[in-house]
Amino acid sequence: MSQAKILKRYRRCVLGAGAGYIGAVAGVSTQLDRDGPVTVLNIGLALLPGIFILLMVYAMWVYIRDVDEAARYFMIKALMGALFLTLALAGVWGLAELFLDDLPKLPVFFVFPIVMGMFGVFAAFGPARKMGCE
Amino acid sequence: MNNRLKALRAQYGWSQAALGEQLDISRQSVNAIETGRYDPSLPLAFKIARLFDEPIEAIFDDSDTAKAVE
Repeated sequence: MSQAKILKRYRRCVLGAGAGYIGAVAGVSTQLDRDGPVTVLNIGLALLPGIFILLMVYAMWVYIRDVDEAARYFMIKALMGALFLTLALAGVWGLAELFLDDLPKLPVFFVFPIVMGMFGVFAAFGPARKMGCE
Repeated sequence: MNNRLKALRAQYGWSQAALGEQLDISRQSVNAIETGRYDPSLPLAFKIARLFDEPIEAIFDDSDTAKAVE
């Protein structure tokens, strides 16, 4: 498969899964009754956005596996920057939460969007810029 | 690491996209190698050398690395 097709497939999958994720989060948060009984349907609905997260992660894994070595190098650099910064932020915030009771609790849910957001910024403005993976 | 890829490509009259197609890498990757932002792996360097029918050391100049080793 040509590099252009690999990039096109990656963009299509990530954008599609990203749109599905946003739609699923919005739909589930408005439709699911948090105080309702724990039924199979409710569990399924609560897990629905997670399917799109798995799809996005799978699309990224397939892209990193198939893309040429230079693009892979820059993409991994951007991803590592995003992961390390998010790990540091999550660790610092988690410690502060432990020691300060009044500090607002940051749900673990936010880790994925933060990583993806930072990855986007690193890919667009970091060493990976102009590599076609932004 | 410096390289003569841009000069060789010009000599053959190929665009970055055309060279990338022959090497199965993207145009952006050809650009990254030409501008020294990325040093290719040994298999890719051999592929480039074979394509231009030149030895690797005639295309890639590792004198900086060699000085560091000495």
